[in-house]
Amino acid sequence: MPFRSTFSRVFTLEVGIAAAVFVLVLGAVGFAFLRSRLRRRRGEEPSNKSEHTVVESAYVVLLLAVAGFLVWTSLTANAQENSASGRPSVTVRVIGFQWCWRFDYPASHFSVTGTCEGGASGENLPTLVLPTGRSVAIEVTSADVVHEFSVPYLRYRTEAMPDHTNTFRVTLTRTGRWLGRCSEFCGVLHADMDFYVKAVSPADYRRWLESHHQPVLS
Amino acid sequence: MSRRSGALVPAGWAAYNGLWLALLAGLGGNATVLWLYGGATAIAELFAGAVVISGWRHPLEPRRHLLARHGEASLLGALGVAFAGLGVVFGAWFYPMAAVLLAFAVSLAAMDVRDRHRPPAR
Amino acid sequence: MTDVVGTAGIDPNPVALVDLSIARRGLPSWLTTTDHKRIAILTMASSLVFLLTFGLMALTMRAQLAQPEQHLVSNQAYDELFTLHGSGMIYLVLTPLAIGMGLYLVPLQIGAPMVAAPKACLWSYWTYIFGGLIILLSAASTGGPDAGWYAYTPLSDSQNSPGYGMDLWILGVMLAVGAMMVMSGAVLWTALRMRAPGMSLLRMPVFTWSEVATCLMSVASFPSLLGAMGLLAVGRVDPSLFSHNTWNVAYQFLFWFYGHPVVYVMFFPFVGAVAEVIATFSGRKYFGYTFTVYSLLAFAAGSMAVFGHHMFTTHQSVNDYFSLSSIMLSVPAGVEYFGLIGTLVGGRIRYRTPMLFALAFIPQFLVGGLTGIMVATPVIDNQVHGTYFIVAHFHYTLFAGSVFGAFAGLYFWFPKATGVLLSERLGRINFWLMVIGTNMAFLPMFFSGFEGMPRRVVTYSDASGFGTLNLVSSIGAGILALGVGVFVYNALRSLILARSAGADPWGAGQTLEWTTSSPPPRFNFDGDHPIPPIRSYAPLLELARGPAPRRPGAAEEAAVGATAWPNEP
Repeated sequence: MPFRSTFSRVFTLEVGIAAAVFVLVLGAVGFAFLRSRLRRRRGEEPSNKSEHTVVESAYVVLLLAVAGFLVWTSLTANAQENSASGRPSVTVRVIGFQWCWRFDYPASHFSVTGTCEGGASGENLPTLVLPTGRSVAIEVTSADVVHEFSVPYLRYRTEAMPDHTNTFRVTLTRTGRWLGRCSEFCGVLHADMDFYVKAVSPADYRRWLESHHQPVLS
Repeated sequence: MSRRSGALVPAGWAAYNGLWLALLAGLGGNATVLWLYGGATAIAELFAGAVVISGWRHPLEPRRHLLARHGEASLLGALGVAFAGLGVVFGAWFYPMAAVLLAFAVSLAAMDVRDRHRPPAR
Repeated sequence: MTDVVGTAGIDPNPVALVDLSIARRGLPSWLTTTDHKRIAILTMASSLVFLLTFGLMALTMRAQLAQPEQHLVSNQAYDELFTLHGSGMIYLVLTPLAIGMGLYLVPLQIGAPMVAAPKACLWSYWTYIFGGLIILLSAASTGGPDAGWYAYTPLSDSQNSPGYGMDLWILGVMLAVGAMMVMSGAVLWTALRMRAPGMSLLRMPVFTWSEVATCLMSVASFPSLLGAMGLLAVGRVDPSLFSHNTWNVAYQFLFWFYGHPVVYVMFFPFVGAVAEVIATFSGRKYFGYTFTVYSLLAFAAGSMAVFGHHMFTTHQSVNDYFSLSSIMLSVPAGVEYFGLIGTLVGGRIRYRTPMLFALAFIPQFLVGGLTGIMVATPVIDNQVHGTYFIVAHFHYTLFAGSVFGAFAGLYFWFPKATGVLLSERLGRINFWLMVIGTNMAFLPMFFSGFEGMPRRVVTYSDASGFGTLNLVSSIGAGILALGVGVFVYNALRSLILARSAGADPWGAGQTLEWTTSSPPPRFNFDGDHPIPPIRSYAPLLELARGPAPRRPGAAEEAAVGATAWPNEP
């Protein structure tokens, strides 16, 4: 699952650069305040310079270099996130609707849902059960308006759009249960559209599949 | 020189947009986004063209605007447009009111156009 | 009764400038005025009234979110509140304020006696007002607009949002945006065609250039919103349209092709204002003028090329291109910062109220800009899209940045436009309340958003742990509102006290508007207030420093500049 590591690498880098720039700018402004005070004390006139072409050109080159580096970081990270290839061992289909989620397991001919009423404090949230260590393809779509399938733990989200399927690949590395949410405004019960993603060991996953025998809903 | 150079700004700006547009095409922009961005670039070029033509026709640009007498035309015109829009939402009976307002606004504005080149005696 | 300029005896133009308006005094003279200054004051004052209106809606939302699992307002009411808050602030507050400021200042700064197409500008004003009223009306009608300010289809179609409310909202938005498109066309035309003798392009003040860049964007991108709203209207007649992915995506592209440039429309003029304020209160010429001018234009062009970054997570955009174009915007932004800070470094700073707002703009907008680079990176957007991180990011750009810049400009030019002085003491109280309130309100949102709190949720569970952050935000919003209240009080109080400002209350004006009276005469400059020679982008500063020709030929130019407008050879 590259999302978490890619995200933390790029995010840490950009936060670091941002912090450095922020401190640099504050430092420059602070320096200007001190210079100004000194100028006032000495009775000096303000500078009358309107341009310093060499310094400014060099600065533009520097900016281009930093921006170019950030672009390169962004593009390579994006390529890395979307690099999964080969056949997935599990395919699940996520369908957002007003106002809850349905998870179809096409290979096993059944689907699970729940009730989203009350949001995260609800008792019967739909739970997307996935095996760890397997490459999972998650196909996200919508039955009505635009929703967004977002799982903060995964560091990934994708819009659930009607008449269109977005697919992403993920391999979970540890077991656990994480809250997911709808992250695109979709109507009056948007705030309630929470769900769980639950990662279980492949053996548990198999047992869980076997315990379900409902026919697929649609 | 200064008044002629004005058109360079929108023209050059649109041309620079053209570079970004070309890059978008190169990186796989679909027809929708290319038409959209191309259309906007064309609007900026048209604006530049209008500035050029205006420069030929009226080297002394501001003289054309000396008589803006009938501000009421603007108020009535805005009301007319709003009524026409309400007609689209609520149906036909807004349209005749919009038509009357717009006709009135246009005729007032036309009086300003007629008087534009007259000496401002009053 | 008739004001005439060109009485200095050096006007070879046979047509003098005469105000022949039918209504000459009282309220009717304001409502049908063709004076750009009055239209601009109407526009800006209206936008401030809308600011208070939609600000109150924000306070209601902050009250609702202050504690987890609260239900002060219904879900439906909350959805309408954020839809109106977002659309109101963008369509009816910041865009008109940005362009209205240009309508007031651009003719003055370039030495023009009027704006191009004054009747069209007045039409824009009224169309904007009617659009605003219709948007407010839409909330009062059945099925108020509740699909967010970008009204994504199919949520906004007639099946999911039935009733007249949404229809009226579309109409109101089209009127308000169409109006601003026309007004910005007039401002742009003025800057390109009506400059006074001697006012070459590269002598236009930074603020005027920022308006030029702004108006280029609005002229080129606002039609796209009219297209989006038209498409939405068609889809409300035939809802089957939006069962097709093609049209949903087309709507999003059309919308964001307007929706991104408009962010900069609401930002550039206020950067321009900050630049003028910083130069004035540093007592020096703006540093890095040429680079800043070109970077403004490049910035404006680049901002037309980033619309798809709002759609990274649809995976139907061109993520690589839009990430590249968005991150590259940091180059022109960096150049502008260099100019602002370079001006400060060489200056002798006076800390008056406009300067305080301009100085706060620097770090606060920087937070918005730097987080902008983060959200322009798809792998980061995959975590924060649709969350409060985005809300924090754009409130730092639009409020902590743009609105602070706008307040710098309002404090700076208020005495010019009204002829009366604002209270410096109240200005400082206003400033500190706003700084504290803004950062308290918006900084916590980065953290709740990072943890995954989605936008536009009416409430959140106790277990989510967002409670404290939201409470801090809500308290901050209250302090912020108090700050805005102090501004309103300050402005009204000053108008009643009417302490005369004089032509140049700051004693250091650099651009042409400070030579003429406060408020300026009907045609901006007249025999008593002639246009001085224009030899640089800070003509008054050159004047104050004495006639030191900097280049050969400057003397003749000065002679040309000394003649009053209009005398085009």
